[in-house]
Amino acid sequence: MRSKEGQAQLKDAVYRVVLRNKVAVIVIFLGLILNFVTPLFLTSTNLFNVLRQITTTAILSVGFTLVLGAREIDLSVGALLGLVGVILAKLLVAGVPIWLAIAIGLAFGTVCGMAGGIIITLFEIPAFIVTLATAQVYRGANYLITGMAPVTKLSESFAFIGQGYLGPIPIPVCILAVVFVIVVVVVNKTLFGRHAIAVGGNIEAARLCGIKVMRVRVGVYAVAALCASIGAVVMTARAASAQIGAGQGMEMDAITAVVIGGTPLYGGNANVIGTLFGCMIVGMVNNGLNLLGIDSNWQVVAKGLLILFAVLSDVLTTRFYENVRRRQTLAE
Amino acid sequence: MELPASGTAQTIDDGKPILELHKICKYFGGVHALEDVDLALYPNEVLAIVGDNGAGKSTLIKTISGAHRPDSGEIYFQGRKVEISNPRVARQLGIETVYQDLALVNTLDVPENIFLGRTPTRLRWFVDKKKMFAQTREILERLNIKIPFLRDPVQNMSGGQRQALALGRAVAWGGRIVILDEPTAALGVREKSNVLTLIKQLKAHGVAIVVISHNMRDVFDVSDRIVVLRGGKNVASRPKEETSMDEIVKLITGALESVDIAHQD
Repeated sequence: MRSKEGQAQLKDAVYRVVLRNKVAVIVIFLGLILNFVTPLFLTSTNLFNVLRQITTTAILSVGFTLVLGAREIDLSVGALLGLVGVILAKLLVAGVPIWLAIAIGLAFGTVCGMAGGIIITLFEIPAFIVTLATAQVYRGANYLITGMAPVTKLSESFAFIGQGYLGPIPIPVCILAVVFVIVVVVVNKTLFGRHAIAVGGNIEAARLCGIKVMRVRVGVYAVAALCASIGAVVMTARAASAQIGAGQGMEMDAITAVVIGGTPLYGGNANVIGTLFGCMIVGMVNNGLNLLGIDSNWQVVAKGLLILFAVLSDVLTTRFYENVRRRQTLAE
Repeated sequence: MELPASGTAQTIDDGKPILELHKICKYFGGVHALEDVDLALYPNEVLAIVGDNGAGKSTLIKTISGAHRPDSGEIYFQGRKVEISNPRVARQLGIETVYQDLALVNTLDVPENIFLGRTPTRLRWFVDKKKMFAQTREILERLNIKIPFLRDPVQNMSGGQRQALALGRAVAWGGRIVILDEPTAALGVREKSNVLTLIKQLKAHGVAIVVISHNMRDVFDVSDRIVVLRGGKNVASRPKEETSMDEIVKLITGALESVDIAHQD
């Protein structure tokens, strides 16, 4: 009897360790498989390639972690990234100094995010409807501004932000590192971050305890939009041009990365480090399929399946914890 | 957060009520939810409010906690007339309510829940974790609440621990009147007795406590005085020693008409 109980506890403990670090487990597992099927995968050139490819998504996803942690959702970040990119490119082409163009781009993106947040909180409309609509607005504005033609021939000094190196490290990776550290500190150490998580965990309790819920929620959207805008700068600089389709569908990559990374869909927790691993998984899957020479349309299918997998693993994790809790309560 | 001095029994116990309701009426459409309800609450007392479903218990406590505004009648706090127009005003007066769902954030740990909305900060923007943990330990120790792992999210805790935590928070925030809505519902036997013990301890800290409960045994265990509501009216107020479960049940159901309402304090 006693040992049976002990066994169950051990099983729980093992499950818990695996589930808490599921993202690292998946990364290692995926890496081993890819290394096995293609020798090209585990070369430093290729790994740096993966890293460079995921930087934009990662910058966006890191901010998105706070959104999901606060039990919000923003489906407009991808379209916003595209729009900020073309605005930035147009400004640069018009001869605006680089620093000013970037500042305007970031400010514009952040204000857009806040506006969406204000509409959501003020009128209490479901976030996904509002952001689906604003995404459409951003996309339309993007097409209007560009006339459906990409903005090209951006200066080399601007392209340096996306293509240059700081020592051995690509500048986009440096930018990602800075954004990552800031968001980790914001989420875990600041009043705003903790309030956002509290709102995500139990919005009524947060309200009853005097947290200014609306301000926090709008702030969360602002952070996500700012990160998307930083992503836009990096992406535009890397390509030295703004493509009209840039950022499309990136919100789905972000959701996948964040959820696989261990931030629950129902909020109340934000695992920013996990998100970084989640981005690596998304990047590795794409990279692996590329290396294997598989039809790029299959990548679209793979992405969809990955989202399903992420959500499923999240649901199963939640259910596991609920079961453990139920057993504990019964035992008392 | 200002911690009340240890002991907290600074409430002036001069035999006057800390809270007094006078002829409180509340209508919802044509329904008299509360009709001329008088109520007095004294420091260091546990007052139980009992009554059938729809008798007006919830409406009454919501009037005290600021969730409802009465349509007529007066409320006196320490002899001073007050308007409890919203929950914030109630809280400023020192009236804390522990709702049935406890208003805890399940994914946060114990200190974060205790300091929810009143987190101590460093450099204005940053959470002062050290201070939070130290003060949490102090609060829990003072109130004799035993929670072993402060760092665990509260969803991993038992129902009784969660109830104790919500109670502790209410008192720690300087609640001089704590309203408990069905504190023992959904608790196991041992957990229940722990919570009841805690309520008695809080009383010893000089807190006035209002308990709403359906469970007569708990009511008789923990309360000093029992108020019976029926059809939105206060039909009886009895010190526990001078009544019986049988009488209270009869008063609730209307099998016994109250006659002494005029003698009530």
